[in-house]
Amino acid sequence: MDVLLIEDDQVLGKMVCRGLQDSGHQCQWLSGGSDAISTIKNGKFDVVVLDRMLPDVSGMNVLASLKSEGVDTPILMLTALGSVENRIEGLEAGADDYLVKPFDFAELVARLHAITRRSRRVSTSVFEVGPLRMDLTSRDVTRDGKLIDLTPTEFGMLELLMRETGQVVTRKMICEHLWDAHWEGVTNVVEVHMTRLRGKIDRDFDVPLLHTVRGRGYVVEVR
Amino acid sequence: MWNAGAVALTAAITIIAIHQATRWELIGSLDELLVEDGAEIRLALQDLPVASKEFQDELNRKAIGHRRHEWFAKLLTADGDLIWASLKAPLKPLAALNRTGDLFTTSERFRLYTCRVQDDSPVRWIRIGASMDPLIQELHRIDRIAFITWLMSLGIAPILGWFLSFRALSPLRTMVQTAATLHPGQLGKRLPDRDADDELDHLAKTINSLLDRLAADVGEKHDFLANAAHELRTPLAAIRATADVALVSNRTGDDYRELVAQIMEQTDALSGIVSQLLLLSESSLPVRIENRRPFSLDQVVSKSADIFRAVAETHNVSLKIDRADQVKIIGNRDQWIQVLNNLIDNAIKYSPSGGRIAIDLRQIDDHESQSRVQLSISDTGIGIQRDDIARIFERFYRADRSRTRLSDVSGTGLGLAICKAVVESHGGTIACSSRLGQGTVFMIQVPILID
Repeated sequence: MDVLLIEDDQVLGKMVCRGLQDSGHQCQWLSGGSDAISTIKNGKFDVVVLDRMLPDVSGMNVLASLKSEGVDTPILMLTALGSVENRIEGLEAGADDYLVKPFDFAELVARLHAITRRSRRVSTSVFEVGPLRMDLTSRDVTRDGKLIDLTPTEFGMLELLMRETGQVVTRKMICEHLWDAHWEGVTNVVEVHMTRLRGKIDRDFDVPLLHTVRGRGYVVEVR
Repeated sequence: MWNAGAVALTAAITIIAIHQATRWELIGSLDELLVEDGAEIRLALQDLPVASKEFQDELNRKAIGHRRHEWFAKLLTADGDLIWASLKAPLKPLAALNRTGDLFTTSERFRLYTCRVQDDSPVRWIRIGASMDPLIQELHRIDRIAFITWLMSLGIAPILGWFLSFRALSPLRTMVQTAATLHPGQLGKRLPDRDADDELDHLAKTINSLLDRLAADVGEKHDFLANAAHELRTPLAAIRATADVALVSNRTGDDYRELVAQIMEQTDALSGIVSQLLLLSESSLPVRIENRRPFSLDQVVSKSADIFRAVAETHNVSLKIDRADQVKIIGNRDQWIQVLNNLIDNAIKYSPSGGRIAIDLRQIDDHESQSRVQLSISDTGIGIQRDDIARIFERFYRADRSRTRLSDVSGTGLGLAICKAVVESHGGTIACSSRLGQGTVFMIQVPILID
């Protein structure tokens, strides 16, 4: 991915840029919003990470002018303002996603993947990870051809994981997916469902596909 | 100033009125006297001739006898020629005779009364006069007294007015002085209660109750801030300690990964607390108009119940929806998800194995009040002590501190405070009833808002 990062915080900007480069992406970093529009229009970026509060121009203003000029590069807003209302405001202004600081690096990457894929409009109706197969149309999940019975909640979680195959999906993303609302989870709701899901798709098989990544989240992949 | 002017003007008008009234009164009584005298003379003329000494003496006696007024009588012919005049009568004719039966005042300040005698008498006209001087002097005396009174009222009125207003406003002054000493850190003082049951006393009482509420709110905010800082310090300490352990000696890559993962878990917990604090702060305010949207509360309820059912099953607790009417309310859906999650999560947490949780959502329409939604979540859990029930909605209050775990976001002691804030910002109420060892019911009522 070719990422343009617009973030005024020096430490955060540097770390995110380095992290993206480490995981094999290109990253250009601007510490202000004034050059943002020309940079985006001249460059060929897959995705823009835009901080909401910049010292010179507000991120919301940058977003508004990009949208008014018809730039369709997907944009992820980054902010310390975590209230529901701020999120709604950002999303309604045309951001493709919204991430609240502090965030998990894995989550940032996963969300960037998600919105670039969404913008490429690849619509798949079948996901396959090794022997695991999910058909979105018939809502059937099979492993080695054996039908697995999932609750709607479990199906939704597995769908999220399979869409991001190989990418870590965080608890926060799962919570948001489950409730269709910004919500940092209670207790161990995610763990409980994940345990059940694992029981259904992995227990009777030799090779586990659903892995817990300590401190980060979950991933579905063939290891 | 205006006050004194008004008093002076009123007094002046009163004095002029008194002057005029007295004048009319005095002239009226003089006129009565003159008319009486005229009738008397006319009667005397029937018995006595004008020329008789008896008649003349009688009238002269009267002229001299009138102490206060210069009095005289003139008898005239039909043409106005003088037949006889009493003593003290002015020599020159006073006025034409065309004003019969009339009473009038001459320029010489005489009050004259003229009356006609019957035609066969040589005397055709009787004219009686009396000087107005004593009357005018009397009037002047009254005027002088009135003027002095007026002057005095002019001096006294402002002083009296100032004194009265000083007395009347003294409670207000106390209020101002007390209010001036108040500031957010010092809300202990109250306005004096005079038990007077007047407007000022009502005002003082209203301000006092406002101060009570403000003081309570400021105190609560202060405690809240202190508690919040304390709550944040614990996970921070854990993060620091973990990082410390990581740095204190050389470790293998796996060790580092393990420690960094721990730090991330603790950061999540910290971030969870911060989110809850933000949420509490934003739900304490009324929902902003632009964020009000109609949504199906029954869908929020069933979604939360579906997701939590798995959690309940791992605790061997049953979770079922007894009734869920289709109801739409207007507000912030995300906040209501929090309410449901917090309440269901609590119910699961405090239910022993084999417990039952029942959710009931219904619309209530009665004639007395607005249509409303009633949501109850009841459990067969351990229950809450009577003393604790009053405090469970307080921020950071935990009925049972030993039960909570640090990594547990809902263990921040903010869950029920958030529920209360959300419900109240939507114009509703939340109540709790509980029996130790038998269970707890949380009951929410919220109006179906119509925009």
